[in-house]
Amino acid sequence: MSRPNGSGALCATVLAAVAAGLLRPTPARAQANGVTDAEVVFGMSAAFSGQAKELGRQMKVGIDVAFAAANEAGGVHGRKLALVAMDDGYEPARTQTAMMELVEKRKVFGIVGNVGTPTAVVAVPYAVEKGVLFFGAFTGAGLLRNDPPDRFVFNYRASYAEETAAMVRYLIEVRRIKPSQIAVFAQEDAYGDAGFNGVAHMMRKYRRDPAQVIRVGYKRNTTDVADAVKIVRQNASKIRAVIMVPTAKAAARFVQKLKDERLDIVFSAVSFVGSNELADELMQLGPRYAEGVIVTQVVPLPTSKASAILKYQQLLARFAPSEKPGFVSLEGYVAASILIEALKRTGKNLTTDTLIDAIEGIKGWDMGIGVPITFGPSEHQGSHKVWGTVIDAQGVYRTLEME
Amino acid sequence: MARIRQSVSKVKAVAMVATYQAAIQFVQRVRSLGAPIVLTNVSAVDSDALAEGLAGAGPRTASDVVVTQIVPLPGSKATAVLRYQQALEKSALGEHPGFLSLEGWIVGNLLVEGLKRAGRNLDTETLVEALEGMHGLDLGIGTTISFGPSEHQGSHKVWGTMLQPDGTYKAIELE
Repeated sequence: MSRPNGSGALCATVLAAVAAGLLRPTPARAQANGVTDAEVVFGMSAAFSGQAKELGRQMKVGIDVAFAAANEAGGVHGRKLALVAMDDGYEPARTQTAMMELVEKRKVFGIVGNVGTPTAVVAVPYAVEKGVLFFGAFTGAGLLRNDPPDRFVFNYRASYAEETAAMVRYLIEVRRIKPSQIAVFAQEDAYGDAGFNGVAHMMRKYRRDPAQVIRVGYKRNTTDVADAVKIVRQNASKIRAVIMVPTAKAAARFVQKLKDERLDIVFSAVSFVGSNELADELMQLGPRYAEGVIVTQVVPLPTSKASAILKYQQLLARFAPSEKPGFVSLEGYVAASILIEALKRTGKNLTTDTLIDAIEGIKGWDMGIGVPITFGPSEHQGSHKVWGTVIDAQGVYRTLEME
Repeated sequence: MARIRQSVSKVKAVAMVATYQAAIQFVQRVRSLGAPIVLTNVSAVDSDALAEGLAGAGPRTASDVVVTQIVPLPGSKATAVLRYQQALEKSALGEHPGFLSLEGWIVGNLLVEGLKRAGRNLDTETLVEALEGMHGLDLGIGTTISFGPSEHQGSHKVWGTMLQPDGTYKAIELE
């Protein structure tokens, strides 16, 4: 898989298709943007540079692999699937430009696999206003989960509210930590807010005033965690667990500094952290930094032997042999697989409306990831499942029973 | 009102079950006391009339006014609400989306669905049976509709909204 170099890079899938002579010019016909008889073009705006670049790269790997498998089988209703990926560096200001480029210049049919919450703050209202499908973004934020759901916005993954709820319950019910002993380390933007709100919601259920919860943080695309570490250290006698809503490098630095203080704290992070990158960063510092760090996941272990996961591993070995199975690329693969299933169900007459009706018709579809996928006009989130995982001394993720 | 004034130091919230004219008067007078009191109203208030009456009265008056709703925001982009907006534009020119007409539209749609299911042989009995046979109907309003012989209320869902200074409503979480 080639990685996009800067903005406007064409995805490997397109290039391969062009090279193979598959993209013959098709006669002009009144079809939806990005749709011809021979192909469907999707767009993706994500981080391919900066601190969060692994997230964008991995999501794209997963989508590419799913698209490549579908294309090898002849495409969907004769149409090859293509992906145009743009680099927004995980900065909302660049997301606006990228989305406009994708929708208005490249005329993509829909958006798939965007990365991040602060970027979604810009991208989602734009897609909704333009009436463009916004599918399977890598974020669990509430703004993609309005009630009732926006017609054009679909999620595969469980929300941050569901991830943090599972975590708070686990800490309190299983680990017997008091609500007052739980602090939050969160990125200082819409992503951190979304995670904190999930914790706050649960705190209210446990009769704890969210205003009393210690919240520390850092700035997006930095690893400046000194202030956060200082505040936790000052309150060390009161804190027994920290729920983290960060990216991998900031999280690793934060855990390192506090473990150096020999503080007895349970660390946990939400799935957006980029689990494999987090484990790699911590293992570089030493096993004692990695061991015991908990991450909630919205996909199963990428090394699992479940039906869908075995298929994912095989396809990865085939189409992206340099890539190891990972949580983020698995999520990209799952999201893209659901999209492909919906495209199949839509039939030949592909428009945004026919595709959305097909997605809303998916009920209890079991692709073999451990949870059936269900959508409906009032349900635009396919899965509500959260898996618990914990890093062991070898830097490997193990299943953690959360209930 | 006199009793609220007497106990202003103790009262933190007033749950109103009022029509909009009375509610507007009441909100304005409570706000003139200057105490931080949360005012809530049930959906029957006519949210749009309430908003219109209070928006002109200044941002301080309209703040911290919560209205519980039994339909989603009429400006939402959900599947059913987009259909409603398109129908409104087509068949009721000049009407702006609003909570009450959205409720009427949903009720009308449920009745139409019941009529479809009742078939050609339409009488009250066949229609009632068709309605009672409606389970988990998803129009795309954020909740499914279910009736049954022992259930004659299609939805139990309540949305929270808060009045904004510009006279619009914003969704809030009630839990």
